[in-house]
Amino acid sequence: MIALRKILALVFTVAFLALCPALVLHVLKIMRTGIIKMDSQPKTASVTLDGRDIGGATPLIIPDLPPGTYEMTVSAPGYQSWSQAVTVNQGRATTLERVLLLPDKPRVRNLTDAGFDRLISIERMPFLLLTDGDSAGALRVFDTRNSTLRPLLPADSPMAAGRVEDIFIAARSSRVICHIELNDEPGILLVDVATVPHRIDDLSERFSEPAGKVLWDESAKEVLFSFRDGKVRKIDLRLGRDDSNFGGDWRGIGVFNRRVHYMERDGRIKSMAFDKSSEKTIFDDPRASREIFGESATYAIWPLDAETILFHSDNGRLCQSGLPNVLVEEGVRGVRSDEDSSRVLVWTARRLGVLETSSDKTRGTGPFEKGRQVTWIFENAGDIRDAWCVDGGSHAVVQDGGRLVLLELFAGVNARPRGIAGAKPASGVRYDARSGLVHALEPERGRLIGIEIAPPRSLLAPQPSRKSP
Amino acid sequence: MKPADGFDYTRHGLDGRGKRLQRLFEILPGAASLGLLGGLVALAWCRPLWALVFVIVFDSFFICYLSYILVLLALSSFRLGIERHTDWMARIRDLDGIRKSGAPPVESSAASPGRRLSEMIYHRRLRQLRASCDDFPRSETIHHVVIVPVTSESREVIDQSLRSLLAQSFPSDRTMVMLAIEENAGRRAHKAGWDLHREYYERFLALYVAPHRADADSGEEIHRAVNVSTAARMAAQALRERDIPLDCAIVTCLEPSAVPEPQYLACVAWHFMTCPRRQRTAFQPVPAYYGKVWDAPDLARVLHVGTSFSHLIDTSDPEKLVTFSSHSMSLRTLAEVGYWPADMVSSDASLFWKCYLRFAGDYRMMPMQIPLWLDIPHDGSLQSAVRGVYREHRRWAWGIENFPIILRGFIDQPAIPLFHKLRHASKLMFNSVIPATVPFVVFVLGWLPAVFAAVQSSSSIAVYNTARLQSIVLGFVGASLAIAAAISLFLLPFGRMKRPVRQLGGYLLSWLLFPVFAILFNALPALGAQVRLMFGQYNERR
Repeated sequence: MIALRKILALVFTVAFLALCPALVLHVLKIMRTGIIKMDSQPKTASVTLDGRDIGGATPLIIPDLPPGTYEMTVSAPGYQSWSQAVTVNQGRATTLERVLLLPDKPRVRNLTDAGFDRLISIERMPFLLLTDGDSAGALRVFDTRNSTLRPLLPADSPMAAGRVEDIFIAARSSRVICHIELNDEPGILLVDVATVPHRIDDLSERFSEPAGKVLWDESAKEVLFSFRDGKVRKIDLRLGRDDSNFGGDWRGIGVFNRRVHYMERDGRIKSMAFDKSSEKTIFDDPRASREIFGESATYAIWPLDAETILFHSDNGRLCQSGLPNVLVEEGVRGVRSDEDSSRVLVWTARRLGVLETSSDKTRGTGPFEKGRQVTWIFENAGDIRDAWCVDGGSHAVVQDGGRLVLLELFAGVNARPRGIAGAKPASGVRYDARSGLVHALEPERGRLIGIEIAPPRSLLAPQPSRKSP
Repeated sequence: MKPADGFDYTRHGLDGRGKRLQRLFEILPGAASLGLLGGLVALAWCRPLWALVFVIVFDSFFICYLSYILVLLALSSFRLGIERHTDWMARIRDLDGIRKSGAPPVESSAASPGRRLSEMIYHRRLRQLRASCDDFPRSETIHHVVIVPVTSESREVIDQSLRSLLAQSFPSDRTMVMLAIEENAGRRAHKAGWDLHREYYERFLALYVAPHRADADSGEEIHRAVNVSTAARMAAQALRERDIPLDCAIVTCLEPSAVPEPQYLACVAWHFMTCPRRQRTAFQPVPAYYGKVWDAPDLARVLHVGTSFSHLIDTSDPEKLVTFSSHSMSLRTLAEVGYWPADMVSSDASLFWKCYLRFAGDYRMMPMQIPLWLDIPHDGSLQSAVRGVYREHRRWAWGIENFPIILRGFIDQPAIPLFHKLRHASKLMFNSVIPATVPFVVFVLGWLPAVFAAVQSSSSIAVYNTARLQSIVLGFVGASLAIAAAISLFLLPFGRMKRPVRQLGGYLLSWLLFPVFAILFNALPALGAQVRLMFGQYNERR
């Protein structure tokens, strides 16, 4: 037994001495390689690299790849193949979060019989506003949950004959505020589109002056603010009290986190509780502020995340409270953050960019970090009107003139646009994560269509939801 | 007071140099374990790749070691299995036959292959004995002294143990039983002891109650080691009065819950008689927690089976050296070294090292292929079983207290060859650091390079490769546990199962928690004991 034990000890010692360096060398060798981590929608798609079958199905990790560029093709029965050059770097994982394979024949559903010329979506709510002309009576509300179409105002409403001057909406709010002109008299209606029939409150008397821009925080929805010519008026619907001098000589306003955030004329940025009980200075350097925000532009202010505030001027300048302060000098038409990911889409007429907000993707490696910056992934477009993150933030659907294109956001600057359908120019688009449909107006008749580009959320694994700031 | 032979096996009464050495060696194991764990954490943060290489080295060592242990476990289980039905008393009679006639017994043709192998090993041993011309004592001169330390055990538990001693194949009129009752065991225990004395005195060579009173003046504490030492002194005195030579008396300190197999004392006697250096050898059975095994909660059962496994593996390794629970040795040797060290918690291991140093390395452990059934301590509830197991493991972990004393002993004992000193010191260090760190590294810290690499950069492939490596290691651990669980099925007494399907299912499922057990009941107590010793906090009470 003792001799046997000694022999065994010797055998296993030799095994260790042989195994250990071999393993270390092997790992050091594979550390000089790279890997590709990828997933696809639909899953279980097959993958080839430079024409060779990888042998697995998505989601998968392709290990031990020598650094270089590979032509990757992802394919699944019933779907269009996806091909792209993928670069693998030494010691790094190249991540293709979710390659979205489009069906061979994407199903397009006609959702309305009538045609429209504009689509306004209410972010993070299942409602679309559809308009056909300027008449208030022509405004329709489309409920994406049950595909029902209802007029915003009842036919017998006196305001239905009026002309819509402006429509105000807020994310996560089912309330729509319409500025309607009837017989040269302004009327302000607050319509709750979540109720059937729609609950309508006439606020015309509360807005004794022209409304300008109306804002509210859905978490304190009884308080409305109107912003016009630098003046801010507070309207308390619950108490019936108004404060016509809530703020004056302001050049920017945002209402969130139960506070009013504003930019004073001299560039100081502050926030204030709704009841003015507390005031906080966010930026107190007028000189620097002028350099960042310019002298006169008016800004819309809203939160990017818990730490950063975004400023979007009427001339398209996009700034942030963190460094670098100026994200885009001019021309920004729209900014849209995604509920399911840490990505924010920024677009001008000609290009579309992504602003990564997760700390992992924005952190630099040295003492002089670059901070958050917009990465332009789609350039030389014709006329970008709207954009939405799709499929958990892996892709974006963009309305570029009369076409809808799909972009892979994870591919960064290598993203290649894929056309998915045509759409009425400048009409607007919307992605509904719950149903996986892209809503748009068809090019000729303007009917509302739904294009299936991803399975309904109920069929997918739960997506990580983004924390609201 | 320093003993005549020079080295005093205690940490008390040291001079300046001795104190400094003692403190240095007390710090060493804890510093090594904490250094290894802390170093790995720091390395994983600063240099994830180096940490990954370290984890690879550690994991590949662990895989090889685990494979080695599994093979040993299988071999030891097999060896234990083939000796399960050995008639050791018949083998003692064979020895007497050889003494009288000089002729070896006739080789019988056993039915099963296991028995045939057992017979083959036995006859080869007899041939070795005859060839070496070693003299062995006559069996009628061999006496057993069985010391049963009593603290809070009920009369029924001790009674069961005594009855199992009476049922031994070895003649009970050559077995002296000492009930070593602690002073603070309470009136009930003392009364039970005296009742048992009256009941069993005539049925053994003698049965004495040895109550121990702490001698506050000498700094002596109420302590198992002191208690059993008192009993051993009384037994030596009683044997001298009967003109029984102490060098033919084998002393065994049995746990009160131990139920020795009928052949147990005969097996000890046979090994003692056939051992050429019997006065310089300790005889170690396999303590197996299979008594009342199906009455205990599933988790406690797995924990104790795991402990029994480690004992079983140890018995296949005389190089492991140290004796543990319920070993036997010559009473003369015990008296010569001054009995158990009075200020040590891990009294059995301490006694071994005390002998090793006292006899300048001429002392060894001989494994015996016979189990000693011990009860799993519990009162039916899982909580008490887990608490009991944790306390027991903490007490064993406190065996680290021997480390500084042994190393001082090596320095003070020039007669032990340097090679042996270095070999044993490195083994002791290995056996201290590895159990305290392996479960942490394999199950927890091995993931750190991946975690830290992910925190620093989610696109590092260290994240993926560490996870890949760890999943291979954990897969291997899982397979090893499955093999260990399968081996355990051959050893468990299935006949005593009450609800076979539920109990067997619960038992097998509990193996899945083994990684948690390894951290909670092995690594944590071991690390805790090392850190306490490192900071000079001693645990001299049981």
